[in-house]
Amino acid sequence: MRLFRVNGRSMLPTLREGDFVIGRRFDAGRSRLNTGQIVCVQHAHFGWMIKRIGALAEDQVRLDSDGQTGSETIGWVDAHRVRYAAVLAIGKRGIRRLHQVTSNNGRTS
Amino acid sequence: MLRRALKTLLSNKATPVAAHCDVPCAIYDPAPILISALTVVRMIDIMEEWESHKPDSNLAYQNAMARCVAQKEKHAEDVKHEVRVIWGDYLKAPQFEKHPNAHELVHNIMLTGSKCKQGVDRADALKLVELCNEFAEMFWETKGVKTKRAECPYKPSLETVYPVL
Repeated sequence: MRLFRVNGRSMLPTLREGDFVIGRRFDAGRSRLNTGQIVCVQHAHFGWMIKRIGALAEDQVRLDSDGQTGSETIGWVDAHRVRYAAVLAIGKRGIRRLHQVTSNNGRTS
Repeated sequence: MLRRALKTLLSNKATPVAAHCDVPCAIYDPAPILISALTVVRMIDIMEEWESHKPDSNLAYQNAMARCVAQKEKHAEDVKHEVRVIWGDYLKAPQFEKHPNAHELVHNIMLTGSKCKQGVDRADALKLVELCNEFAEMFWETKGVKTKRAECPYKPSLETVYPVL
């Protein structure tokens, strides 16, 4: 488990600036990445980022934002950069489980 | 899981994780703001030149005016957009503490930019350039970069702020 604090607004309305997120570590070879998951990624150039997996390819994932912009500019990253699955959000709206959604428009419940 | 999560909360420091709307490129520069503000002045000057030397062809005159108005509109809006980006994305609490008039300055740029879109008063455009100069000086000061004022080497040949690098 690892605690993250959200900076920025690209994951609105799911995550607000200042929200805390609990991340569950992906075990290499054992955990499975899924489209729609919110994940914490250690990006080669931009450091820690929180995004939603928009699509999966062989060894890569496409990172999407829940907000209106951002996904095209972040784009595809190596799957091994995905370090944590965001499982719980803690903020002014209380504690919420972060569920996987099947489309980028679906948001979390 | 909740127990483990709470344990994590209590024992760890939070790692900042970026959810930026754009790639956090951190490239901010007021140069486009000043170029757009100078363009607004230039468009008004060109319109005044056409007005004082109306050509025989009314169609050519209308075409030139329409183009100038369109560019004036675009560049005044560009000023407002670029200023908003620096104000909203770059400036943070420490800079606002150091420059308490930043909000008022930005607001004045918004109002003057709109005035430039609405009318053709050169005084408004000159005011827009001066406000943008002040904004550029404030911006570079937050970067620890010295500035100088010099006449831009092209029409409308107005005093403009440049960083001394």
